[in-house]
Amino acid sequence: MQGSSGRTFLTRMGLRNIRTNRTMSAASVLVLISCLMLIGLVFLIAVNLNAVFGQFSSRNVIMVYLNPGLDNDQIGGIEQHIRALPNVKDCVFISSEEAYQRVKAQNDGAFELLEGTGTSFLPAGFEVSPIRMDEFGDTVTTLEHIDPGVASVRSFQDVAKKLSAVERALMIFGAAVIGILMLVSVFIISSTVRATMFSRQQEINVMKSVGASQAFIRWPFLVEGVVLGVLGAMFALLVVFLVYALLASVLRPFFSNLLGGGFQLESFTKYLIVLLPGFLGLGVLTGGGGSMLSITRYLKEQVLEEALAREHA
Amino acid sequence: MIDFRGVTKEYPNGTVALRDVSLHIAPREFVFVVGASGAGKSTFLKLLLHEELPTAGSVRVGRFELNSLTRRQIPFYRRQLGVVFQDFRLIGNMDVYDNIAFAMRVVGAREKLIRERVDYLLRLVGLPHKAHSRPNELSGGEQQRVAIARALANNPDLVIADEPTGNIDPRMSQELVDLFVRLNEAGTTVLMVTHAHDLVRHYNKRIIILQDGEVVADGGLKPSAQTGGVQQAVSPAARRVAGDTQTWSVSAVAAAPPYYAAISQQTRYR
Repeated sequence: MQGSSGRTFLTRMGLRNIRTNRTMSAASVLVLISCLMLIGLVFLIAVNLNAVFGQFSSRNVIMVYLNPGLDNDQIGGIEQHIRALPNVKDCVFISSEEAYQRVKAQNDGAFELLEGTGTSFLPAGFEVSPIRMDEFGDTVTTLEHIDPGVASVRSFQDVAKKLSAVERALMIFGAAVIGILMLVSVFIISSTVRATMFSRQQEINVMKSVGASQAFIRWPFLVEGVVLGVLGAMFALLVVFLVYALLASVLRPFFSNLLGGGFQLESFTKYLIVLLPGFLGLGVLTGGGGSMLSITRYLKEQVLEEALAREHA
Repeated sequence: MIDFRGVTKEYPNGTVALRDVSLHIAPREFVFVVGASGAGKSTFLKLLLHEELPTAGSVRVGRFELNSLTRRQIPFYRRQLGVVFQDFRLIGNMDVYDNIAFAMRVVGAREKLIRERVDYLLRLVGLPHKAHSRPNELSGGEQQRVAIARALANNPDLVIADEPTGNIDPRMSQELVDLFVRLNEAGTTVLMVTHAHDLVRHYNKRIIILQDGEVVADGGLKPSAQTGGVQQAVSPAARRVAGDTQTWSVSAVAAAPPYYAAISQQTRYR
């Protein structure tokens, strides 16, 4: 398009335009901050709800009970078989003795009647943790068909199905909200830039009259949009951090009692590595995209007028 | 340099701004285009700047056939021109230096060349001390001189001035036209649209008179005593330009190039 000196000048021109049209620039940045802030908060809410579901899921294990009398080789073979399944995160062997101790611990005092009966009446088995809740049913069916050796399989499929459906709905809702907010950002930024464009009609006409190409005319507007996008992204990140910190301090007591205790809100800094490039990318896309949309539409309208004149000719 | 061949321009609302205009302006000529409001001067300029296209006929400027210019060629065509507008059209948030340099940056000139050229142009128009002033800090005459400097930035072969003296005082107007004359003497073709009949009378240059979209006179103005009494061929519009106190006529333009002479003969005088 231009030599480096031309590009430098155009870039400076774009930066200067931000200062000159400071009211509209501030409006664009504020709009972007609002949208990105909502996107960020939706993201963090989704992340935390996912973590809650993750903890639910981790507690929703599948119990695979074994037939009595299996030797260690046979048990080892079944364990290998289970671990080789695609949706299995973990597989822990529970002997009859361990099962007995667990049940005893959970039913404190009620085992006195069984004193002296030994520990072998409870079957040994495996505690299988699935990876994905939406494939929970398939995993259970596969486990039921491990033959010989498996006596029965116990699971809470209904809970798993519900969790999976809620998780999926949440993801779709979150993605839809983020998508809509992005479209709103692009629309508002393009409208804002378009409003400034009409006030700069003379500037554009002067550019055209001295022979500026369309790429030359577009560049300062692109710079302006991208810089506004980056500014909006940085401020939005700061706002999200502050709002999240405030919410976390208010909600922490509630969450710490969730799931029988031990649940922690996700840390903001853990997701900074996702949020920072994500916000910058969204800022550049919406700022630069909105700007380009406006100038392209504006120049197209002018070309259309010229084409109409040509057609008339 | 400029060829209009049978050019007619009719707007969608039915207004015919130019009718069957044919004229030729040779390289290095200085031409005034005059006419009352609605005579077709603005359309004439719009056709030259490729802001409008003719309904019939063709326009050629240098090597560019304007009827068939593609979108991509338009900027390259406009870079060959230096255009000065009545309302200056300076960019308000740039200083004088950047306004002039802007036209060179558009064509991708190097900063070193831009610095040298802008310094030269500022000296040429007598404003070296105003390089870092904003347009709104300058008088009308100074703004127009900046606009002229910008028009000359890329050393164009053709300078088109649209009522350049329209917004400035008479003394400054004459200085500006003197500047255009000096440019013309240095080899630049100058086409100036103006209402300032006093100025036109002051300079013995070719005049094209437009009336109701037609060229009604084309030639130089000289007192009839010097040209052998052809004043009967002069249109009322030309007389108005010349002023009522003197008798003027369109000269034979003997010194003009052959093509120009041929076109002159085709011009219908009323």
